[in-house]
Amino acid sequence: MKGELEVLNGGLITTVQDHGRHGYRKYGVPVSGVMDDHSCRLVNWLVGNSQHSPVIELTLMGGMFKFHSDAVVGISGAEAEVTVDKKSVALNKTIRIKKSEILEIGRITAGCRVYLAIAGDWDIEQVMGSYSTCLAAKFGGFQGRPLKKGDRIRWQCDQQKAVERMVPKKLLPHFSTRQTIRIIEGAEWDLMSEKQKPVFLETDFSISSQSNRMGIRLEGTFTKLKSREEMVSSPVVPGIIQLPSSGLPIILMKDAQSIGGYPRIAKVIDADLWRLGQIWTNNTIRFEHVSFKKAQELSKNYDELMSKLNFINLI
Amino acid sequence: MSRSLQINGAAWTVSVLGERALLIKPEENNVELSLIHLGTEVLEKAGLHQVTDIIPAYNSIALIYDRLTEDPDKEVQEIQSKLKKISTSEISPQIHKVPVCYELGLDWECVEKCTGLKRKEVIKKHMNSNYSVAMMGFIPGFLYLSGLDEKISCPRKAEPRTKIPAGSVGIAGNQTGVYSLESPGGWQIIGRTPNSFFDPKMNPPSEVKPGDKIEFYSISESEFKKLRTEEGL
Repeated sequence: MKGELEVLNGGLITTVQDHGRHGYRKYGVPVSGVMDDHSCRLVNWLVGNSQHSPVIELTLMGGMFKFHSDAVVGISGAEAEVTVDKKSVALNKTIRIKKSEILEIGRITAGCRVYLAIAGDWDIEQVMGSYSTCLAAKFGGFQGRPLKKGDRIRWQCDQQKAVERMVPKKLLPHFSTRQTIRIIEGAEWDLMSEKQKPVFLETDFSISSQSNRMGIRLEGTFTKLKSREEMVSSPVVPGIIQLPSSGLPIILMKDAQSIGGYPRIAKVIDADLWRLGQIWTNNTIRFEHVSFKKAQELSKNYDELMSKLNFINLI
Repeated sequence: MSRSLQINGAAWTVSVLGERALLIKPEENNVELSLIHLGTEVLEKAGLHQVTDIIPAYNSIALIYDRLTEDPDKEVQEIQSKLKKISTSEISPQIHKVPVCYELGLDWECVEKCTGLKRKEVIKKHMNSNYSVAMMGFIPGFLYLSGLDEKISCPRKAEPRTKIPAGSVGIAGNQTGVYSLESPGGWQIIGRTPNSFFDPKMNPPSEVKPGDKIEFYSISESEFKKLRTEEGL
Protein backbone atom coordinates (compact mmCIF):
# COMPACT_ATOMS: atom_id res chain seq x y z
CA MET A 1 0.00 0.00 0.00
CA LYS A 2 1.25 3.44 -0.91
CA GLY A 3 1.17 6.18 1.67
CA GLU A 4 1.61 9.94 1.64
CA LEU A 5 1.65 12.84 4.06
CA GLU A 6 1.67 16.55 3.42
CA VAL A 7 3.41 19.03 5.66
CA LEU A 8 0.96 21.74 6.78
CA ASN A 9 3.37 23.38 9.20
CA GLY A 10 7.08 22.57 9.25
CA GLY A 11 7.68 24.14 12.65
CA LEU A 12 11.14 25.40 13.55
CA ILE A 13 13.70 22.87 12.28
CA THR A 14 12.02 19.68 11.16
CA THR A 15 14.37 17.32 9.32
CA VAL A 16 14.56 13.75 8.08
CA GLN A 17 17.33 11.87 9.93
CA ASP A 18 18.57 8.37 10.69
CA HIS A 19 21.48 7.12 12.81
CA GLY A 20 23.98 9.08 10.72
CA ARG A 21 26.37 9.03 7.80
CA HIS A 22 29.57 7.09 8.28
CA GLY A 23 32.66 6.64 6.17
CA TYR A 24 32.96 10.13 4.66
CA ARG A 25 34.43 12.16 7.49
CA LYS A 26 37.81 12.50 5.80
CA TYR A 27 36.04 14.53 3.10
CA GLY A 28 34.73 16.83 5.80
CA VAL A 29 31.25 15.28 5.87
CA PRO A 30 29.66 15.48 9.35
CA VAL A 31 27.97 12.43 10.86
CA SER A 32 24.53 14.13 10.95
CA GLY A 33 21.64 11.96 12.15
CA VAL A 34 19.19 12.21 15.03
CA MET A 35 20.26 14.23 18.07
CA ASP A 36 18.50 11.72 20.33
CA ASP A 37 19.38 8.21 19.12
CA HIS A 38 17.42 6.61 21.93
CA SER A 39 14.06 8.11 20.92
CA CYS A 40 14.81 7.32 17.28
CA ARG A 41 15.20 3.65 18.15
CA LEU A 42 11.97 3.73 20.14
CA VAL A 43 9.83 5.28 17.38
CA ASN A 44 11.11 2.92 14.73
CA TRP A 45 10.37 0.03 17.07
CA LEU A 46 6.84 1.37 17.72
CA VAL A 47 5.97 1.05 14.04
CA GLY A 48 7.94 -2.14 13.32
CA ASN A 49 10.51 -0.45 11.10
CA SER A 50 14.18 -1.39 10.94
CA GLN A 51 16.60 0.60 13.11
CA HIS A 52 18.08 2.01 9.90
CA SER A 53 14.81 3.61 8.76
CA PRO A 54 14.52 7.38 8.55
CA VAL A 55 12.47 9.39 11.07
CA ILE A 56 11.30 12.99 11.27
CA GLU A 57 12.99 15.10 13.97
CA LEU A 58 10.98 18.11 15.18
CA THR A 59 12.55 20.85 17.29
CA LEU A 60 10.89 22.92 20.08
CA MET A 61 7.86 24.09 18.10
CA GLY A 62 6.29 20.87 16.84
CA GLY A 63 4.55 20.74 13.45
CA MET A 64 1.43 19.69 11.56
CA PHE A 65 0.92 16.95 8.96
CA LYS A 66 -2.05 15.91 6.84
CA PHE A 67 -2.18 12.22 5.94
CA HIS A 68 -3.44 11.41 2.44
CA SER A 69 -3.59 7.71 3.29
CA ASP A 70 -3.93 5.46 6.32
CA ALA A 71 -0.71 5.20 8.30
CA VAL A 72 0.83 3.56 11.33
CA VAL A 73 2.99 6.07 13.20
CA GLY A 74 4.98 6.36 16.40
CA ILE A 75 5.89 9.48 18.35
CA SER A 76 8.51 9.65 21.11
CA GLY A 77 11.11 11.96 22.56
CA ALA A 78 10.21 15.31 24.11
CA GLU A 79 6.85 15.91 25.77
CA ALA A 80 4.25 17.74 23.73
CA GLU A 81 0.50 17.81 23.24
CA VAL A 82 -0.20 15.58 20.25
CA THR A 83 -3.57 15.38 18.53
CA VAL A 84 -5.08 13.54 15.60
CA ASP A 85 -7.97 15.61 14.22
CA LYS A 86 -7.87 17.63 17.45
CA LYS A 87 -8.26 14.55 19.67
CA SER A 88 -5.42 13.86 22.08
CA VAL A 89 -3.32 10.77 21.44
CA ALA A 90 -0.72 9.12 23.62
CA LEU A 91 3.00 9.31 22.91
CA ASN A 92 5.23 6.23 23.03
CA LYS A 93 2.46 4.02 21.69
CA THR A 94 1.67 2.83 18.16
CA ILE A 95 -0.86 5.23 16.60
CA ARG A 96 -3.16 4.46 13.67
CA ILE A 97 -4.04 7.39 11.47
CA LYS A 98 -6.83 7.35 8.89
CA LYS A 99 -6.72 8.93 5.48
CA SER A 100 -7.28 12.73 5.53
CA GLU A 101 -6.70 13.02 9.29
CA ILE A 102 -4.42 15.76 10.59
CA LEU A 103 -1.63 15.00 13.06
CA GLU A 104 -0.58 17.98 15.11
CA ILE A 105 2.45 17.97 17.38
CA GLY A 106 2.19 20.99 19.66
CA ARG A 107 4.86 23.15 21.25
CA ILE A 108 7.28 21.07 23.28
CA THR A 109 6.74 21.33 27.04
CA ALA A 110 9.68 19.25 28.29
CA GLY A 111 12.76 18.18 26.36
CA CYS A 112 13.73 19.62 22.98
CA ARG A 113 13.05 17.20 20.13
CA VAL A 114 10.12 14.98 19.12
CA TYR A 115 10.53 12.03 16.75
CA LEU A 116 7.96 10.76 14.28
CA ALA A 117 8.25 7.38 12.57
CA ILE A 118 5.91 6.06 9.89
CA ALA A 119 5.65 2.32 9.18
CA GLY A 120 7.02 1.38 5.77
CA ASP A 121 9.80 2.10 3.32
CA TRP A 122 10.03 5.83 2.69
CA ASP A 123 10.40 7.14 -0.81
CA ILE A 124 13.58 9.02 0.13
CA GLU A 125 16.95 8.34 -1.40
CA GLN A 126 20.02 7.61 0.65
CA VAL A 127 22.97 9.91 0.05
CA MET A 128 26.33 8.37 0.94
CA GLY A 129 24.53 5.53 2.67
CA SER A 130 22.29 7.62 4.92
CA TYR A 131 18.86 9.28 4.99
CA SER A 132 20.13 12.07 7.24
CA THR A 133 19.90 15.72 6.27
CA CYS A 134 23.26 17.49 6.10
CA LEU A 135 22.12 21.09 6.68
CA ALA A 136 25.58 22.66 6.21
CA ALA A 137 26.02 21.24 2.71
CA LYS A 138 22.30 21.02 1.84
CA PHE A 139 22.08 17.36 0.86
CA GLY A 140 20.45 14.19 2.14
CA GLY A 141 17.10 13.76 3.88
CA PHE A 142 14.33 15.73 2.18
CA GLN A 143 16.10 17.77 -0.51
CA GLY A 144 18.87 18.64 1.93
CA ARG A 145 16.71 21.05 3.92
CA PRO A 146 14.18 21.28 6.76
CA LEU A 147 10.59 20.37 5.88
CA LYS A 148 8.21 23.19 5.04
CA LYS A 149 4.53 23.68 4.20
CA GLY A 150 3.54 21.80 1.07
CA ASP A 151 6.29 19.14 1.19
CA ARG A 152 5.07 15.59 0.70
CA ILE A 153 6.66 12.42 2.03
CA ARG A 154 5.66 9.12 0.44
CA TRP A 155 6.17 5.55 1.54
CA GLN A 156 5.31 1.96 0.72
CA CYS A 157 3.81 -0.06 3.57
CA ASP A 158 3.19 -3.77 3.87
CA GLN A 159 -0.01 -4.13 5.94
CA GLN A 160 1.09 -7.54 7.21
CA LYS A 161 3.82 -5.90 9.23
CA ALA A 162 1.48 -3.67 11.23
CA VAL A 163 2.31 -3.82 14.93
CA GLU A 164 0.77 -2.58 18.16
CA ARG A 165 3.38 -1.56 20.69
CA MET A 166 3.98 0.58 23.74
CA VAL A 167 7.36 1.68 25.05
CA PRO A 168 8.16 -0.05 28.37
CA LYS A 169 8.23 2.52 31.21
CA LYS A 170 11.85 1.88 32.12
CA LEU A 171 12.93 3.01 28.67
CA LEU A 172 11.18 6.38 28.84
CA PRO A 173 13.45 9.38 29.42
CA HIS A 174 13.11 11.71 32.41
CA PHE A 175 13.11 15.39 31.63
CA SER A 176 14.52 16.81 34.82
CA THR A 177 15.74 20.38 34.43
CA ARG A 178 18.97 19.51 36.24
CA GLN A 179 20.83 16.73 34.53
CA THR A 180 24.01 14.90 35.34
CA ILE A 181 25.94 13.96 32.23
CA ARG A 182 28.78 11.48 32.53
CA ILE A 183 32.11 12.16 30.84
CA ILE A 184 35.47 10.54 30.23
CA GLU A 185 38.76 12.42 29.97
CA GLY A 186 39.50 14.01 26.62
CA ALA A 187 42.87 14.14 24.83
CA GLU A 188 43.60 17.57 26.39
CA TRP A 189 42.09 16.87 29.84
CA ASP A 190 45.42 17.71 31.45
CA LEU A 191 45.44 21.23 30.03
CA MET A 192 43.13 21.91 32.97
CA SER A 193 45.05 22.51 36.19
CA GLU A 194 44.51 20.26 39.20
CA LYS A 195 42.46 23.11 40.66
CA GLN A 196 40.33 23.52 37.55
CA LYS A 197 39.33 19.87 37.19
CA PRO A 198 37.16 19.78 40.32
CA VAL A 199 35.69 23.19 39.41
CA PHE A 200 34.76 21.84 35.99
CA LEU A 201 33.01 18.91 37.66
CA GLU A 202 31.20 21.06 40.23
CA THR A 203 29.91 23.78 37.95
CA ASP A 204 26.23 23.89 37.04
CA PHE A 205 26.42 24.87 33.41
CA SER A 206 23.44 26.51 31.74
CA ILE A 207 22.65 26.09 28.06
CA SER A 208 23.08 28.95 25.59
CA SER A 209 20.30 29.62 23.10
CA GLN A 210 23.09 29.66 20.49
CA SER A 211 23.14 25.86 20.76
CA ASN A 212 22.14 23.87 17.71
CA ARG A 213 22.67 20.55 15.95
CA MET A 214 26.39 21.31 15.62
CA GLY A 215 27.06 21.94 19.27
CA ILE A 216 25.62 22.66 22.68
CA ARG A 217 27.16 25.84 24.05
CA LEU A 218 27.49 26.00 27.79
CA GLU A 219 27.48 29.04 30.04
CA GLY A 220 28.79 29.22 33.58
CA THR A 221 31.48 30.73 35.69
CA PHE A 222 34.20 28.33 34.68
CA THR A 223 37.79 29.57 34.55
CA LYS A 224 39.86 29.71 31.39
CA LEU A 225 42.77 27.44 30.57
CA LYS A 226 46.17 28.84 31.54
CA SER A 227 47.97 27.60 28.49
CA ARG A 228 47.13 29.85 25.55
CA GLU A 229 49.24 27.96 23.05
CA GLU A 230 47.44 27.49 19.74
CA MET A 231 46.32 23.93 19.20
CA VAL A 232 46.69 22.40 15.75
CA SER A 233 43.40 21.19 14.30
CA SER A 234 42.72 17.62 15.41
CA PRO A 235 40.02 14.97 14.88
CA VAL A 236 36.82 15.20 16.91
CA VAL A 237 33.69 13.07 17.32
CA PRO A 238 30.20 13.91 18.62
CA GLY A 239 30.26 14.16 22.41
CA ILE A 240 33.67 15.79 22.64
CA ILE A 241 33.71 18.85 24.90
CA GLN A 242 35.89 21.61 23.49
CA LEU A 243 37.15 24.48 25.60
CA PRO A 244 37.82 27.63 23.55
CA SER A 245 39.78 30.55 25.03
CA SER A 246 36.48 32.17 26.09
CA GLY A 247 36.32 29.54 28.86
CA LEU A 248 32.82 28.48 27.80
CA PRO A 249 32.73 24.80 26.82
CA ILE A 250 31.04 23.52 23.66
CA ILE A 251 29.76 19.94 23.43
CA LEU A 252 30.06 18.81 19.82
CA MET A 253 26.89 17.21 18.49
CA LYS A 254 25.82 15.41 15.31
CA ASP A 255 26.37 18.17 12.73
CA ALA A 256 29.82 19.05 14.08
CA GLN A 257 32.79 19.07 11.75
CA SER A 258 35.22 16.13 11.79
CA ILE A 259 38.24 18.29 12.74
CA GLY A 260 38.38 20.90 15.50
CA GLY A 261 40.92 23.44 16.74
CA TYR A 262 40.06 23.78 20.44
CA PRO A 263 41.35 21.68 23.36
CA ARG A 264 39.29 18.50 23.78
CA ILE A 265 39.07 18.48 27.55
CA ALA A 266 36.48 15.73 27.92
CA LYS A 267 33.96 13.59 26.08
CA VAL A 268 30.36 12.86 27.00
CA ILE A 269 30.00 9.08 27.21
CA ASP A 270 28.13 7.49 24.30
CA ALA A 271 25.48 6.09 26.65
CA ASP A 272 24.53 9.66 27.72
CA LEU A 273 24.93 11.50 24.42
CA TRP A 274 21.28 11.08 23.39
CA ARG A 275 20.16 12.90 26.56
CA LEU A 276 21.81 16.04 25.22
CA GLY A 277 19.52 15.88 22.21
CA GLN A 278 16.71 16.73 24.64
CA ILE A 279 18.48 19.59 26.43
CA TRP A 280 17.49 23.21 25.99
CA THR A 281 17.94 26.59 27.68
CA ASN A 282 15.75 25.77 30.69
CA ASN A 283 18.15 22.99 31.71
CA THR A 284 21.36 23.02 33.66
CA ILE A 285 23.92 20.26 33.44
CA ARG A 286 26.68 19.07 35.67
CA PHE A 287 29.39 16.64 34.60
CA GLU A 288 30.33 13.45 36.39
CA HIS A 289 33.70 11.89 35.69
CA VAL A 290 33.72 8.13 34.96
CA SER A 291 36.52 5.82 33.85
CA PHE A 292 36.87 4.69 30.24
CA LYS A 293 36.11 1.14 31.37
CA LYS A 294 32.91 2.26 33.07
CA ALA A 295 31.86 4.17 29.93
CA GLN A 296 32.38 1.01 27.85
CA GLU A 297 30.34 -1.00 30.34
CA LEU A 298 27.47 1.50 30.28
CA SER A 299 27.41 1.38 26.47
CA LYS A 300 27.40 -2.40 26.54
CA ASN A 301 24.58 -2.52 29.09
CA TYR A 302 22.56 -0.04 27.07
CA ASP A 303 22.98 -2.05 23.85
CA GLU A 304 21.90 -5.20 25.66
CA LEU A 305 18.85 -3.51 27.12
CA MET A 306 17.81 -2.18 23.73
CA SER A 307 18.44 -5.45 21.89
CA LYS A 308 15.73 -7.04 24.04
CA LEU A 309 13.21 -4.61 22.55
CA ASN A 310 13.05 -6.67 19.39
CA PHE A 311 11.45 -9.52 21.28
CA ILE A 312 8.72 -7.51 22.98
CA ASN A 313 5.42 -7.13 21.20
CA LEU A 314 2.85 -5.65 23.54
CA ILE A 315 -0.65 -5.98 22.22
CA MET B 1 46.23 5.38 28.57
CA SER B 2 48.38 5.18 25.45
CA ARG B 3 50.25 2.39 23.69
CA SER B 4 52.96 2.29 21.03
CA LEU B 5 52.40 1.26 17.43
CA GLN B 6 54.98 0.87 14.64
CA ILE B 7 54.03 2.13 11.18
CA ASN B 8 56.75 2.09 8.52
CA GLY B 9 59.52 2.21 11.08
CA ALA B 10 58.06 5.22 12.91
CA ALA B 11 56.66 4.95 16.44
CA TRP B 12 53.11 6.18 17.07
CA THR B 13 51.13 6.39 20.29
CA VAL B 14 47.58 5.11 20.39
CA SER B 15 45.12 6.68 22.82
CA VAL B 16 41.39 6.88 23.42
CA LEU B 17 39.34 9.46 21.50
CA GLY B 18 36.01 7.92 22.50
CA GLU B 19 34.41 4.58 23.31
CA ARG B 20 34.35 3.86 19.59
CA ALA B 21 37.36 5.89 18.45
CA LEU B 22 41.14 5.82 18.77
CA LEU B 23 43.64 8.60 18.24
CA ILE B 24 47.00 7.77 16.65
CA LYS B 25 49.86 10.25 16.93
CA PRO B 26 53.54 10.11 15.94
CA GLU B 27 55.71 9.94 19.05
CA GLU B 28 57.97 12.61 17.63
CA ASN B 29 56.66 16.18 17.68
CA ASN B 30 56.49 18.42 14.61
CA VAL B 31 56.50 15.65 12.03
CA GLU B 32 56.10 16.23 8.31
CA LEU B 33 52.55 16.05 7.04
CA SER B 34 53.67 13.37 4.58
CA LEU B 35 54.24 11.00 7.52
CA ILE B 36 50.61 11.47 8.59
CA HIS B 37 49.39 10.78 5.06
CA LEU B 38 51.62 7.75 4.65
CA GLY B 39 50.31 6.45 7.98
CA THR B 40 46.74 7.09 6.84
CA GLU B 41 47.30 5.20 3.60
CA VAL B 42 48.87 2.25 5.38
CA LEU B 43 45.99 2.10 7.88
CA GLU B 44 43.44 2.32 5.06
CA LYS B 45 45.08 -0.60 3.28
CA ALA B 46 45.14 -2.68 6.45
CA GLY B 47 41.43 -3.46 6.31
CA LEU B 48 40.89 -2.89 10.03
CA HIS B 49 37.92 -4.70 11.51
CA GLN B 50 34.77 -2.53 11.76
CA VAL B 51 36.59 0.75 11.17
CA THR B 52 34.26 3.15 9.34
CA ASP B 53 36.42 6.26 9.15
CA ILE B 54 40.14 7.05 9.11
CA ILE B 55 40.56 10.80 9.48
CA PRO B 56 43.96 12.46 9.07
CA ALA B 57 44.59 15.87 10.69
CA TYR B 58 47.82 17.92 11.07
CA ASN B 59 49.60 15.73 13.60
CA SER B 60 47.26 12.84 14.32
CA ILE B 61 44.90 10.31 12.76
CA ALA B 62 41.53 9.23 14.13
CA LEU B 63 40.19 5.69 13.71
CA ILE B 64 36.40 5.53 14.09
CA TYR B 65 34.86 2.12 14.80
CA ASP B 66 31.25 0.98 14.57
CA ARG B 67 31.81 -1.13 17.67
CA LEU B 68 33.11 -0.47 21.16
CA THR B 69 36.90 -0.59 21.17
CA GLU B 70 38.68 -3.04 23.43
CA ASP B 71 41.43 -2.07 25.79
CA PRO B 72 43.90 0.03 23.69
CA ASP B 73 46.60 -2.63 24.31
CA LYS B 74 44.52 -5.21 22.54
CA GLU B 75 43.59 -2.86 19.69
CA VAL B 76 47.28 -2.00 19.14
CA GLN B 77 48.06 -5.71 18.81
CA GLU B 78 45.25 -6.20 16.34
CA ILE B 79 46.30 -3.19 14.22
CA GLN B 80 49.96 -4.21 14.37
CA SER B 81 49.22 -7.73 13.17
CA LYS B 82 47.18 -6.36 10.24
CA LEU B 83 49.96 -3.91 9.33
CA LYS B 84 52.47 -6.75 8.93
CA LYS B 85 50.80 -7.72 5.67
CA ILE B 86 50.95 -4.24 4.18
CA SER B 87 53.74 -3.38 1.79
CA THR B 88 55.51 -0.21 2.81
CA SER B 89 55.79 1.50 -0.54
CA GLU B 90 55.98 5.28 -0.68
CA ILE B 91 52.73 6.97 -1.65
CA SER B 92 52.61 8.67 -5.02
CA PRO B 93 50.07 11.40 -4.45
CA GLN B 94 47.62 12.44 -7.11
CA ILE B 95 48.27 15.93 -8.50
CA HIS B 96 45.36 18.26 -9.29
CA LYS B 97 45.91 21.36 -11.42
CA VAL B 98 43.37 23.92 -10.29
CA PRO B 99 42.44 27.11 -12.20
CA VAL B 100 41.95 30.27 -10.14
CA CYS B 101 40.55 33.62 -11.22
CA TYR B 102 42.47 35.98 -8.94
CA GLU B 103 40.45 38.98 -10.21
CA LEU B 104 37.56 37.62 -8.16
CA GLY B 105 39.46 37.99 -4.88
CA LEU B 106 37.47 39.92 -2.26
CA ASP B 107 40.22 40.93 0.14
CA TRP B 108 43.05 42.21 -2.04
CA GLU B 109 43.34 45.52 -0.24
CA CYS B 110 43.80 43.78 3.08
CA VAL B 111 46.18 41.13 1.72
CA GLU B 112 48.41 43.76 0.06
CA LYS B 113 48.53 45.69 3.31
CA CYS B 114 49.27 42.59 5.41
CA THR B 115 52.01 41.21 3.21
CA GLY B 116 53.45 44.53 1.99
CA LEU B 117 53.42 43.03 -1.49
CA LYS B 118 51.62 44.04 -4.66
CA ARG B 119 48.75 41.87 -5.83
CA LYS B 120 50.81 40.60 -8.79
CA GLU B 121 53.60 39.37 -6.52
CA VAL B 122 51.17 37.67 -4.16
CA ILE B 123 49.54 35.84 -7.09
CA LYS B 124 52.94 34.76 -8.40
CA LYS B 125 53.94 33.37 -5.02
CA HIS B 126 50.57 31.70 -4.55
CA MET B 127 50.88 29.94 -7.93
CA ASN B 128 54.53 28.99 -7.52
CA SER B 129 54.06 26.73 -4.51
CA ASN B 130 53.02 23.10 -4.53
CA TYR B 131 50.43 22.37 -1.89
CA SER B 132 49.46 19.26 0.02
CA VAL B 133 45.85 18.66 0.98
CA ALA B 134 46.46 18.52 4.73
CA MET B 135 42.89 17.59 5.52
CA MET B 136 39.27 18.32 4.60
CA GLY B 137 36.65 19.82 6.88
CA PHE B 138 35.06 22.34 8.58
CA ILE B 139 32.39 22.06 5.93
CA PRO B 140 32.24 19.22 3.40
CA GLY B 141 34.87 19.57 0.72
CA PHE B 142 36.82 22.43 2.30
CA LEU B 143 40.49 21.91 1.39
CA TYR B 144 43.11 22.84 3.98
CA LEU B 145 46.34 23.23 1.99
CA SER B 146 49.78 23.38 3.49
CA GLY B 147 52.86 24.73 1.74
CA LEU B 148 52.01 28.44 1.54
CA ASP B 149 54.98 30.79 0.96
CA GLU B 150 55.30 32.46 4.35
CA LYS B 151 55.84 35.85 2.68
CA ILE B 152 52.14 35.83 1.74
CA SER B 153 50.74 34.53 5.02
CA CYS B 154 47.91 36.68 6.40
CA PRO B 155 45.82 36.53 9.58
CA ARG B 156 42.14 35.62 9.37
CA LYS B 157 39.64 38.46 9.04
CA ALA B 158 38.66 40.00 12.36
CA GLU B 159 34.99 39.79 11.35
CA PRO B 160 34.17 36.60 9.44
CA ARG B 161 31.95 36.97 6.39
CA THR B 162 28.49 35.44 6.72
CA LYS B 163 28.62 34.23 3.13
CA ILE B 164 31.61 33.23 1.02
CA PRO B 165 30.85 32.05 -2.54
CA ALA B 166 31.57 28.45 -3.54
CA GLY B 167 35.01 28.01 -5.09
CA SER B 168 36.61 30.84 -3.10
CA VAL B 169 40.34 30.49 -2.53
CA GLY B 170 41.61 32.04 0.67
CA ILE B 171 44.56 32.56 2.98
CA ALA B 172 44.53 32.18 6.79
CA GLY B 173 47.79 32.20 8.71
CA ASN B 174 50.28 30.01 6.86
CA GLN B 175 47.58 27.99 5.09
CA THR B 176 45.66 28.45 1.91
CA GLY B 177 42.34 26.78 1.31
CA VAL B 178 39.40 26.28 -1.03
CA TYR B 179 35.73 26.62 -0.08
CA SER B 180 33.96 23.97 -2.15
CA LEU B 181 30.56 25.13 -0.91
CA GLU B 182 29.09 28.52 -0.12
CA SER B 183 29.47 29.09 3.61
CA PRO B 184 30.38 31.61 6.27
CA GLY B 185 34.10 32.02 6.88
CA GLY B 186 36.95 34.24 7.97
CA TRP B 187 39.69 33.56 5.43
CA GLN B 188 41.12 36.35 3.26
CA ILE B 189 39.71 35.64 -0.19
CA ILE B 190 42.19 36.12 -3.05
CA GLY B 191 40.39 34.36 -5.89
CA ARG B 192 37.84 31.83 -7.05
CA THR B 193 38.09 28.51 -8.84
CA PRO B 194 35.34 27.30 -11.18
CA ASN B 195 36.08 23.74 -10.04
CA SER B 196 34.06 22.03 -7.36
CA PHE B 197 35.65 19.57 -4.95
CA PHE B 198 32.48 18.25 -3.43
CA ASP B 199 29.50 16.51 -5.02
CA PRO B 200 27.28 14.48 -2.68
CA LYS B 201 25.95 12.51 -5.66
CA MET B 202 29.40 11.10 -6.42
CA ASN B 203 31.03 8.24 -4.58
CA PRO B 204 33.49 9.23 -3.21
CA PRO B 205 32.02 12.75 -2.97
CA SER B 206 35.32 14.39 -3.90
CA GLU B 207 38.01 13.63 -6.45
CA VAL B 208 40.49 15.16 -4.00
CA LYS B 209 41.52 13.45 -0.79
CA PRO B 210 43.91 14.30 2.04
CA GLY B 211 47.49 13.70 0.93
CA ASP B 212 46.87 14.79 -2.68
CA LYS B 213 48.83 17.68 -4.24
CA ILE B 214 47.34 20.89 -5.60
CA GLU B 215 48.87 23.30 -8.12
CA PHE B 216 47.12 26.58 -8.94
CA TYR B 217 47.19 28.40 -12.28
CA SER B 218 45.69 31.73 -13.17
CA ILE B 219 42.69 32.25 -15.46
CA SER B 220 40.77 35.36 -16.56
CA GLU B 221 37.25 36.22 -15.50
CA SER B 222 35.83 35.23 -18.90
CA GLU B 223 37.60 31.85 -18.71
CA PHE B 224 36.21 31.44 -15.19
CA LYS B 225 32.67 32.05 -16.47
CA LYS B 226 33.16 29.64 -19.36
CA LEU B 227 34.55 26.86 -17.14
CA ARG B 228 31.79 27.37 -14.61
CA THR B 229 29.16 26.91 -17.31
CA GLU B 230 30.90 23.72 -18.42
CA GLU B 231 30.84 22.46 -14.83
CA GLY B 232 27.12 23.08 -14.90
CA LEU B 233 27.25 25.54 -12.03
